[in-house]
Order: sequence, then C-alpha cells, then structure tokens
Amino acid sequence: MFCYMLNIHLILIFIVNICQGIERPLVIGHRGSAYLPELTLESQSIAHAYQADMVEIDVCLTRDNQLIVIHDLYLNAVSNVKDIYPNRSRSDGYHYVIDFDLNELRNLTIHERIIPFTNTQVYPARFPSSSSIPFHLATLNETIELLLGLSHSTNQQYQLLIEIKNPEYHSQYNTSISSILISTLQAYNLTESHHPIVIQTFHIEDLLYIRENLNSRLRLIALLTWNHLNESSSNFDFYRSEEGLQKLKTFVQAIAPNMELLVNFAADGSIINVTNLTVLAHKYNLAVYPWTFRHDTYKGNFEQLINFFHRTVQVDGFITSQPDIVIELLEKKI
Amino acid sequence: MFVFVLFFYYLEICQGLQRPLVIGHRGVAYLPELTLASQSMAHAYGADMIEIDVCLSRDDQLIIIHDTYLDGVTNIREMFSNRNRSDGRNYVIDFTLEELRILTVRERVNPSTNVQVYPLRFPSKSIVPFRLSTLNETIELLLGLNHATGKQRQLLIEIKQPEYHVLYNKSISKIVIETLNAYNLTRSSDPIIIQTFNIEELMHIRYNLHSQLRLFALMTVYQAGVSVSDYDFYRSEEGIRNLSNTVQALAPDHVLVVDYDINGEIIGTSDLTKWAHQYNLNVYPYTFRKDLFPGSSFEKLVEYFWHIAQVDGFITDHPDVILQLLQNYTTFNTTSSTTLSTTFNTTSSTTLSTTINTTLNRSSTNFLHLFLLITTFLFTSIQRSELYF
Repeated sequence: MFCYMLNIHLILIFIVNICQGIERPLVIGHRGSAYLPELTLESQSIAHAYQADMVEIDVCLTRDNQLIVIHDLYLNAVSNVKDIYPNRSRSDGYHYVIDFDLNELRNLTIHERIIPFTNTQVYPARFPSSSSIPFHLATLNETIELLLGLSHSTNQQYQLLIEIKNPEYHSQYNTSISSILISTLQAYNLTESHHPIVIQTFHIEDLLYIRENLNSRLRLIALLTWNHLNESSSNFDFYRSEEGLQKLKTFVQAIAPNMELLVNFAADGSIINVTNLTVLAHKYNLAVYPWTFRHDTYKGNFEQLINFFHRTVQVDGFITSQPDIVIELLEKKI
Repeated sequence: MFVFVLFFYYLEICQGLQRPLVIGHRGVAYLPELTLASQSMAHAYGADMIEIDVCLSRDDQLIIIHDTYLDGVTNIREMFSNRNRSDGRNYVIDFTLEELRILTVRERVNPSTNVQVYPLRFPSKSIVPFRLSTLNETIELLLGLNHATGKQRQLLIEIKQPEYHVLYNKSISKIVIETLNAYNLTRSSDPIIIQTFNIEELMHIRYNLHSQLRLFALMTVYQAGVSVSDYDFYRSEEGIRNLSNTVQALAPDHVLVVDYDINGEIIGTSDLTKWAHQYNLNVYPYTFRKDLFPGSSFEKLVEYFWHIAQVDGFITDHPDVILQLLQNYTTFNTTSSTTLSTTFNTTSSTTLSTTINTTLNRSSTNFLHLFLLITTFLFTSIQRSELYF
C-alpha cells in the first residue's frame, strides 16, 4: 500500500514538474550583468553563466568606423580617458568615442560606472569602481566571437541583442552606423531570423531602413520611450498607438518599452495599474520586452514586481541587470 | 510509516546542505584557462572555490599561468622571436610584466603542433584578446565579485614549482604571502587557500613564514628522481599523520584515491581518504574533466567518488556540471529513477516570444514533496481507519 502511494506521489510530482518547467519568459542580461563593469567581455561571460537567454549590448562608432561596445557616446563615465588623453576633450569637458581611433581606445582601461568628473560610483553595491583591474573596451567583432565561441564550448546557445546607439548622431558624421553593423554581421554570416542576433534602436526609421533598404532578415526590436526625452526624432506617441503598432508590425518582431509605459507606478514603487500597451502589442503579434529591472535600485518589493509583470502584464521577457535573480524568481513555483 | 517517510525527507534536506565542495579548476573549461573571464564564470556558476596557478616574472610579479612557459596559451612566438630558450620555449621568468602584458591569451594548444588540446572548448583561433592577469587583479576580482554578488567564494592559489623559482634566487612563496598581506588576507577564516606539490614548501610557509592561511597538500604519483617530494611517504598513514599537523586538506591525483583496472573501470578505493579523515584532513581530488568522459560515465564517476570514496570535494574544469549532478542526486525517494531529477536542457527557440525550458528549482520541489507526502499520509490514514468499521 505504501509503495503504491509513493509511486503515485512520484508520478504526480513528475507531471507537475514537467508542466511547470516548460515555459518562462526570456531573460535578457542588460549590458551583460550588474556584477562586473558593464559591457566588458567578462560581464557578458557571466551573463551567459547565469543562464541569460540573451546578452544586451550597445554599439557606437569610432573615428575610423569601428564598432565599439559602449553605452554612452562619451568615455568619461566608464574609462580613464581623461588621464590618458587629457587634451582630447570637447568644450563640454567630455571625451567622445567618435573623436578617437580604435587603436587609441585600446589604451584605455574600463571600470564600473562613475558620475563623470567625480569619484562617485553610480551603483554603490556593484563592483568597486576603484579596482585596479584593467578591463578593456570590446569591439563588436570580439563580442560576436565570444558569443560563437562560448555557445560552442558550453553547448548552450545564447543570443546577442545589439542596440545601435543614436544613429542620427552618427549620421552627422556622414556614417551609417546601421550599414556598418549589418556588414560586420554579414562577415560572420549572421543574417537570418534564426541566427542568434537581434537588433534594436530608438530610431524607428533606422529599423525600417535596415529592413527595407539594407534588406536584412535579422529580427528587429523597436525601443520605445517618451518623446520629450529626445532619444531620437521618432514619434513614440504614434508608435505606441494602435495604428503605430500596426505599422511597426510590418518590419519589427517586438517592442522594448520603458517599463513605465506598461504600468503606472506610485511614488513608493508600488504598481497602480496596467496600461493597454502590452495587450495592443500582443494583438499585433509583437512580443514585449520592458527595461530595465534593477534589483539593487528598485525601491519596492522586487519579487512582487517581477511577478506582476510576469502574471498580470504578461510580458514576453525581462531586460534586467540581474538575470540570475530574475530567472530564479521566474522559476520559483507558487 | 509516516515517520519513516518523513525521515527520508529530512535526510534529503541534510544531504543538500552538506554537499561536497566544488572547485573550479583554472576557472572553467568554457573559456581560456585562468583568464579573468574564466574565473568570473566559475564564480557565477556557484563554484565554492576558484583554483588558479601563479608563477613569477623576471621582475618578481606574480602571473596567473599554469605552465612555467608561455607557448601553450599565448601568442608569445608572434610577439617575440628571439627570446626562447634552446628547447624552443619562452619562459615566464625571462620576461617582465610589461612585456607579458602585450601578449594575448587563447585556449590551450600543443606548442609543437598548434593543435587545440581540448577540441570541444573555446576555439583557440578566436581573435578575442584575453590577457594574462596578475595575482593582485585576481584577488580584486574575487573580492569585487563577492561584494557585488553577495556570495562569498574562495581562491585556491597553487604555487607552481617553488624549487624551480629558487634557482633564480626567488622565493615565490614569500612574494605570495606578502601580496596577500597587502590585501589583509592572512587568517584561516579569509577566503584564500594555498596549495603546492612541494610539501616541504608548505612546511616553510607554515613554520618559517608563519602564515595562518589554510594550506592544501597536492599529491601525485611518486616518481623517484623526478618528484620534488616523497608522495609515497606522504600518502601512507604515517605521512598523512605528519601532514595533519601542517595542512588542512589533501589534493591528490584521483588515481591515488581509487584503484582503476586496465580499462579505466574503478575496482576499489584506496586507504588515502580513510586515513585523511581519521586525521581530520579533507580530500579534494583532481581533475574531473567532463569532456574526457563520454556518455553518462562522468556522472557515474562523480557518484562513486562522492558516495563510495567519500571525498570532500571535486577539483573540476566543469563546476556547473558537478554542481548540477550533486543537486540532482539529492532527491527524496530511494526508489526513483533518474528521470525524476532530470534537468531540462535550455535550448533557444527561433521566435522571440517562445519561452525556454527551465531547470527545476530545488526548494520548491521540496515544498511539493511535503504537500504530497501529507496528502499521502492523510489518504493512508483514512484508508486504515476504515478497516476498523
């Protein structure tokens, strides 16, 4: 009798585990992860070790048209550029990536983000910005080779989500950063929708250009935010509307909105209600990947936040600096 | 009956808390050995310790590298054409730190043939510019990651060939201790352990340099005239008793812990672990490399060392694999097949909105067990009480 009950118990556990184990939203490691200086090869590597499905990176252009993996258009928040090239700043005091050649940028060391011209670390709980470890800027080529090599050696494929930073700014220098990106990816035979590369940017018209003029078949994501922030000249009010989403559907696969476009937050970080953006996006078969879920800076209960976006808002994935924490929360059984 | 069942349940929980240690050998197998990226991955996978090797440069800087020469893991031959010795190799001790900094590190190749030693690993031809790091940087990486993640991992520092460094009038151990002192890493409670194959050097560190750090004695198969220490003596009962005054654990080649037949099958366990435990020493054999064991034989190997040989931990290139195996084995029921504890491999899908298969969360599985156990008990009780009507 006991053995019989035990076997039923085991079978039930097995079935329940299978059902619960099958699906969870995608987890995207923002700039790699929070635990090492952003966007370094080391930060990308540990995002993969933490089982992030995708690693999100940013690219900007150098003076000699090389794609550098960096978030800001300037170098002062994450590098020692002002010590190495004291005379190369612009009148605003900042050193801009586009004013340097790749071989010059290779001389810099990278550290955890600080407020430029201070010694104040932006995220105090993270890797010490005063550490003497010589992290380096990576190029897109190196990042791609890390993706391919690491997916091969671990036998676990992860994907790269490449954000093109400010294409319109780069156009002022007579370069099409999107074209250079597509060419670089082509050199690695990364061209199809099933390849582990996805491209996103705030300039929606560049996504249209990539799809229709460059004829790329890669998956594209539309970053969405508020117009007044001037991330690009795109009219996000339009693209968030039903008509806008319908148009987006013709050339992108997903939207990546600021999470505050999906829910309304109170001052203490708690959630008041849900907007209709996710429902509308899903109506047009667009996946939704909000950003950025930061465990170390969120004021409310992080577990409740993730749960809410998972169960109530029903987003398709999370862009987060702590992919390990989000994965653990998503896999927790209720 | 219910007590019996509950007993097994609690046994599972206890086993889960006391699993053997997992030590990431040279970081992990998935990236070029000993690079900061490789060490970072070991930390992220949850390895309790990260094992690294140190050698000295010409200007007395501690370089994280396994070989005393550079040709296996760097592009030294492309950067320097006339600095090799007569055996064709370029030795770390012939270069300054500044010179070593310009090298790039890649996945290990055989220097004579340029063939990758472990073909399944990171491509040695990749252009990703990994670099050699120093002990200072490695210490800062550990402390910084411990701080940022809130997880306290430890560093196991192997001092390579002290007797070779002595020929150059260098005391590598002294420089290691001084570097650790500079970071206030001096006590047995600090997250640093030192190991070496030179047993007499361990005595020197303990009694002449007066270090209080934990020490492990590396051991290999004794070869007269070749081995720096008499491992046949040190793995005897008397030798182990002798060692127990000085070190906290043994790190033996796995062939000293179990007996293998000619086909590589395990036929028995040696007395080494028994004696070590008798004298309160832990045992951490090396090196468990999954890519050398096809099929499920790696799993069986780990299980043998854990349950039969009863070692205290594993030095492995694949800490993630062993951690997963150790978690999987600690399931409740004694009659289960391995399907219950199978993890689902993560495979990415092509469409963005498709979600991924996941591995099971252990603690939630426990709650499920408890719930179903209680229902089982209640159901059984109800059945029994009916018999009395």
